[in-house]
Amino acid sequence: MAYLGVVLFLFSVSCQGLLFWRGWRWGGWHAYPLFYIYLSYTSFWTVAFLFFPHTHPLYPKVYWNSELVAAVLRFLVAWEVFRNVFRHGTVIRRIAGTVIVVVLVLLALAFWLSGPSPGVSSVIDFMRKMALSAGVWTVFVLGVARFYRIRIGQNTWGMAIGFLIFVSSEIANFAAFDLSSRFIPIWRFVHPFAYVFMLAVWTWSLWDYVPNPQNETDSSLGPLLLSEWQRQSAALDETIRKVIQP
Amino acid sequence: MIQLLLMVFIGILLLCFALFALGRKSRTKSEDYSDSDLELLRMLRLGSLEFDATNLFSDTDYRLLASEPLLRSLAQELRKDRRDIALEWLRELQKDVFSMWRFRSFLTRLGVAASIRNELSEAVRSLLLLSLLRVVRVSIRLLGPYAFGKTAIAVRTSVENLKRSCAARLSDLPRERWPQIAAEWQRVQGLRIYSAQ
Repeated sequence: MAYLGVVLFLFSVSCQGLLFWRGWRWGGWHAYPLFYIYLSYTSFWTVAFLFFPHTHPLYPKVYWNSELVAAVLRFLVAWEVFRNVFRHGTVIRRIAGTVIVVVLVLLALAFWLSGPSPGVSSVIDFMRKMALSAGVWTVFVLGVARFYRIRIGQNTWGMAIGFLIFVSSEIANFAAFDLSSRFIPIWRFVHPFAYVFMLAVWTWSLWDYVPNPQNETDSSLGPLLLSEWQRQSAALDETIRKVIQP
Repeated sequence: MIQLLLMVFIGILLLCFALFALGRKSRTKSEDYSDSDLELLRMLRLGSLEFDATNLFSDTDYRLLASEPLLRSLAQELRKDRRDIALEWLRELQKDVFSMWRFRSFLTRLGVAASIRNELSEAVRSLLLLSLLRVVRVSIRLLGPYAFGKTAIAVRTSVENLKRSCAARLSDLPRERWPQIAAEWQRVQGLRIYSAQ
C-alpha cells in the first residue's frame, strides 16, 4: 500500500510538471490563467507537504486549511470552463449564466434549509458542499453547451471532465467517511486515485493548445440575423393581412 | 443520514457520468477539427442533411389555413409549394446517397480494408434507401407532402446513419493520409462533374 502511495505521488508530481512545462511551451498561462492559478496552488502544497513533518502539531491544522482554500479555488476551474465554453458577450453566455446562477442559488438554499449534518465535521461538510456546487456548475455548463450544440475544444473539455472526476470522488469520499468507517478503506484509495486520474486527463487534454472550434454563428451576425428575421416576419404579416382583408 | 446517503449517490453518479463522457470521447476521437479534418468534414458534408425537414412535412399551418374558407386557395398554394420543395429535397437526398456510395467505393479503391459481407450489406442498404426514396417521391407527387412525411424523415435518418458509417470507415485510416484522400476525392469529384458536362 505504501508503494502504491509513492507511485501515485510520483505520477501526480510528474503530471503537474508536464502540465506546467507544456503550458509554458504553448502559452497556457495566458489562455487559461484561472486554471493555472488552481494548479499552482495544489502543486505548491504537494511540494510543501513533502518538507512538513506529519508528526508536527500544526500539521492537521495547516493541512485542513490548505484543503479549505483549495475547495474554494476549485471554483476558478469551474469558472475557467464556463468562460471558455461560452464566449464573452454572447446571448448563450447570458442564458447559461442565468441558469447556473439560479441552480447555484437553489443549491445554496437547499444546503441552508437542510443545515449541517449532525455529528459530523463541519470542515468536511463544507468541503463536500463546495465540491457538489462546483460539480453541479460544471455539469450544467456541459449540459447547456450540449443543448445549444456548442463544440468544446479538447483543452476545456478535458479540464471539465478531469475536474468532474475529482470533485465527484470528493463528494462521495467525504460523505462516505461520515456515513460509516467501513467505507474508509475503499475511499481512502479511490480519492487519491481520482486526483491522479484528473491530473492525467488534464495532462493529456492540455498537451497542446486546442481551443474551442469556431462556432457556426458568429456573435457579430446576431443583429444581422435579427433584422432579417424581423423583415421576413413583417412581410408575412403583411401578406396574411392582404389575404384576410383584400 | 439521508443527506449523506444522497451525497454518496450524487458523487458516484457524477463520477460515472465523467467516466462515461471520457470513454465516449476516446471512442469518438476528437471533436476538434484540424485543417485535414475540416477538409474531410467538407467531403462528407451532405447538403440535404443540413436541412431540417420536420416543418416541411408538418400539416399544421395547412390545416389552419384550410379551416378558413377565405384562405383555402392560399392553403392549396402552400400545399403545392411544399410538395415541390419536398420533391426537391428528396432529390438532393438521393444525390447524397449516391455520393456516399461513391465515397465508400472510393475508399475501397484506396485500399481501406472491408469485408465482403460489410461491402454487400452497405450496397444493399444503399439500394434499399434509393428504392424507398423513389417510392416516397412518387407518393408525394401523387398524394401531396403530408401523407408520407414521417417516412421521409425516417429516410433522412437512414441517410444520416449511412454517412456515419462512411465516417467510421474513414476513421480507420491513419490521419496522415486524410489530406491526401481529401485531395484525391476532390479530383475524382471534379472528373465526374467534368464528364457529366
